[in-house]
Amino acid sequence: MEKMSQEKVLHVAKLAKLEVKEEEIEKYSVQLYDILSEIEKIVKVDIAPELNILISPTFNHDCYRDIDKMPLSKEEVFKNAGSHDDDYIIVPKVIE
Amino acid sequence: MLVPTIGIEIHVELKSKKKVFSPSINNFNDDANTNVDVIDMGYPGSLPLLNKEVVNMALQAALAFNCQINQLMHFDRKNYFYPDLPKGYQITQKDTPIGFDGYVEIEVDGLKKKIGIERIHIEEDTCKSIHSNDKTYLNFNRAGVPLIEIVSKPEITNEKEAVAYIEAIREILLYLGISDVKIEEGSMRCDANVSLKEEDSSVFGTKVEVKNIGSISNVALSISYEIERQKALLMSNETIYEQTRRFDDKTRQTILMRTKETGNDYRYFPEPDIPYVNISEDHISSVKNNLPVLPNEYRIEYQALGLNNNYIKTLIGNIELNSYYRKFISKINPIICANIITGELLSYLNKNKLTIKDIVLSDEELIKLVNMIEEGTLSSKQLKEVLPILLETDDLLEDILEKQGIKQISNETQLNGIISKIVNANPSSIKDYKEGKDRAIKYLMGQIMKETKGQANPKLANDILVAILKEQ
Amino acid sequence: MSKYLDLSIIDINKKLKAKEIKPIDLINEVFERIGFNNLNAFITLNKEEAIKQALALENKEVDNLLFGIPIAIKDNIVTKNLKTTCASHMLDNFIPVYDATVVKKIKEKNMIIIGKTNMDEFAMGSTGETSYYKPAVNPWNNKKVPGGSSSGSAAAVCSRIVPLALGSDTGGSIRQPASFCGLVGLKPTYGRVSRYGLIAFASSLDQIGPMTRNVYENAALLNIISGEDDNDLTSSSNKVPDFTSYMHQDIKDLKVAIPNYYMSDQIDKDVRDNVTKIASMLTKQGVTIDYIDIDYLEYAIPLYQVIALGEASSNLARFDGIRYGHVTDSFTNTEELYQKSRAEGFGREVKRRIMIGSYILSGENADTYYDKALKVREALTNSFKQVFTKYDLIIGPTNTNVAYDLGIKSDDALKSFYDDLLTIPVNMAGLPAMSLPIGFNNEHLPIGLHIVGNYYDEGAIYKLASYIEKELDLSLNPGGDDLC
Repeated sequence: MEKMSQEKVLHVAKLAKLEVKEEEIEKYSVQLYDILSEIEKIVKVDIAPELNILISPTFNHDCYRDIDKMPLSKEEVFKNAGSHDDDYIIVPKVIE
Repeated sequence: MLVPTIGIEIHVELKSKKKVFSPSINNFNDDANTNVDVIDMGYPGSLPLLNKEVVNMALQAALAFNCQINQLMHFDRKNYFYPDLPKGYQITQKDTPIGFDGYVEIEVDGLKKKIGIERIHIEEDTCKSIHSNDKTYLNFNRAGVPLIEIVSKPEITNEKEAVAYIEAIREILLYLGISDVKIEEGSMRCDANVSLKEEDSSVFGTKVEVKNIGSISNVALSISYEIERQKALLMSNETIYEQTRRFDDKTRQTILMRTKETGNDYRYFPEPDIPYVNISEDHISSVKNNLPVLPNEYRIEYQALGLNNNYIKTLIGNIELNSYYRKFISKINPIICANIITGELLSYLNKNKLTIKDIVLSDEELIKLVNMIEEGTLSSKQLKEVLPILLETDDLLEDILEKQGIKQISNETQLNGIISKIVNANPSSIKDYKEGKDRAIKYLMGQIMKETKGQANPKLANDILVAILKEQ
Repeated sequence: MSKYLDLSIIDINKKLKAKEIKPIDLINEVFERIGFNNLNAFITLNKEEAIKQALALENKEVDNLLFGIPIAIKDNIVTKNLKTTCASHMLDNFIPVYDATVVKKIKEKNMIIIGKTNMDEFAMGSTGETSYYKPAVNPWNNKKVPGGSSSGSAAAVCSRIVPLALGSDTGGSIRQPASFCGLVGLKPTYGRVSRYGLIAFASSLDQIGPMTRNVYENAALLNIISGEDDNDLTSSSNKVPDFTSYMHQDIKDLKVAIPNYYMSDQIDKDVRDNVTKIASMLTKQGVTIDYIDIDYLEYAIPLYQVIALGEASSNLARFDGIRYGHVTDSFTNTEELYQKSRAEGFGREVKRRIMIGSYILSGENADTYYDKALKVREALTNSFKQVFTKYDLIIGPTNTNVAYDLGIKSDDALKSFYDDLLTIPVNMAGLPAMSLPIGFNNEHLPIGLHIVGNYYDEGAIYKLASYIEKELDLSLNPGGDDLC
């Protein structure tokens, strides 16, 4: 069976920030390969060159909105957060 | 010979009332996490809005930098994980920056040059992170604050041009009134891309990015350091790797932050939550026609008025002072006026940590000052004494002059008497004068001022002296 | 036991107005019925609040058709202070701080939210089986899937626990379960209903829509949830008509197209035969029916894989264990916090789709596949527009087949998408479409007719659907008499 390299699978997992187990790597390497051969079809489609990319099926629209809204209370900001104090959401130290 | 190629990326925070994609107030200095909406937190189910004021500000900038406009623009998602990035992506513009292919004019050592601008696009700022020993604290007030990123073409060749470029950008944004552009406070952030290549080669060298340079002077220092560092490496046949460095204030060196792996994989794709934005021809021309006067136009005007470069630089560099100066420009001698405003007045403000908006000085009084100096009825020494009083009290100029005993002797008879006496007591000066020596007049004027404690009207005194000498 | 919930909403409304019944009678019946059923249709019940609200309504005037009517909400639509899980371990304890726009609108009409319905995790699936909370089952046959991803909403309406439910449809997630359960399910035109508060799967495809027992009630619910929303830039300013006014209008001059692609032998024969029967019924009424080809239709699935999964991988990046959602027990740095929280919080199907989506957008792939996909999508959209210059509606089967057994879907990344072969193209183009029950197969499992309309022309769909519904007069209550 044709499949994708383990290295590539791990690269994608890192991009997606998903910890993957050994047995998952194997499965993904097959599935990612399959998907790619499926979507190859799109590359081969003939279309008019002047076509725009379709971003949202909505048209004829004034894009701007100016609404007034109360800010969230701190209680709301922190309501579902894993770690926080009275003023901030807290994460392990980020080293740049 | 190795020559540097420099490109500069500038991020500027716009001072719109609200954030770019949310209705939150755009002021991240308020109490932490008080200007936060579900949108700023990337809350499940939330969707971005689009702030018209921000698009218009960016459009102003794009036009002021002589850019072409993408009339059918959209936004893109830049995907990466970072604790300060709530949605796991930043909304930015990759394919259709609002402005592209523009330029600014700079002047270095009297030589003018155009620096090309590759693109200007709109994007959102991230959370503000505050670090302690073992934790990072997130403030979402800054998440979603509007930014424009201005990317220069790699047409800058040395640190002087880099500084001139950044100053030109800063000045224009200041005059557009769309940003505070304070590098030290982070409302303007500069990154420089530096590489070296052989002068006659068309192939660029490997570029090194110096990130988040904290001041304009550090821009110059970091670029010249980087140029020398790379030169030394190349001379000793070492390879330069693509990497990101930062400038260290203390050691005045650039320091390695990270080497770029196989390039960042940001997985850009068009932001589906914001449909295409149409910017009509009409809208562009109306924004263009309503642009404020920009620094370069002032510069040209001031040069024509005969102002020297120092005056021009000081005025244009201080937008409030400049607009104050503009009030008088057609009413009185512009050079003397510029001299007073950028000289005595500015040093008074600086000494007292004030801005021009903090002081009360009626236009009439300033006009009187300028006119008196032009007529020669007030000396620069007297100006120094009078100005602080004028700024600190409600008194009129005449009253101050009176009270301080600073009055001019402009009575012809009185001056005639004094001057005759001095001339008669200095026969050698008469002789010098007759022999055509200039110093005679200077010496005698000095004696007159000494005798009158500096109160003689200098112009009148000079006229009388010359007349008396001619009679001898 | 009372059977008010078997009545049509019009009849319930009359009784409420006449004070023969009170809203609390309806609510009590709802929770009684939930107790009798083992459908696993709900993840979270809103019992206490619902009762409180029903009692409070007793002093209010019955001012609209949907006043006091119980409704179920798919659990990917946020409800303030009511747990919203997306059927994911990731959001086990997530209590939203705001209401979705549709929820606000429902509350304004004094409808009563009785709970949050089961679904495929993050709406990814077409059986309901990817739910972290065990799958819901099909009320017609408890060994069958109810369809998905709006599995619980379909099961709840089908079993007459509630007359109305909201679902969401990204590639068929309203229409497919509606067809498997014998309901009327409508995916409105993209932009017709605000997505604000709908936890995004694929932003350019997602749309909230009504799932109901009959066509009239579907139109009545769409009336309420439609309209431009300042919180959603993709919501449309298009005028919202009274959709119930299209009921039983004359259909004689309608021009209807049937795409050959929709009647190929990939489609179950029973299903095709039922559609053909409808076509001849319509022809007799003077409706023009033509079989046509639509260009690019065959690319809809790969397009979906690229666009839906690309968008999904980005939309689900926000679940990182920092601001909300599952947090892993032990971690020493943010990288670990991310990787472990996400690996633990998301289920298998969701992770697979995130992996595929991330891969499709990574490196050169974004240019090669994604940009091209967006152009092909425009081409497909144009060919649909072409069809609608000549026809009022497109019809065909909603699905390739009827409801199948629970547990038989293989763990195949590709095949799972082919279930939605006929529904996906509609999302790609952003068109409105309905699944309408038109009969049963020999196992007495419902078959759905797919009716696709032009942009913002849900009215034409209701017009045709109300005619067919009346003509067929099917009995669609799996528990007995159909009174609505």
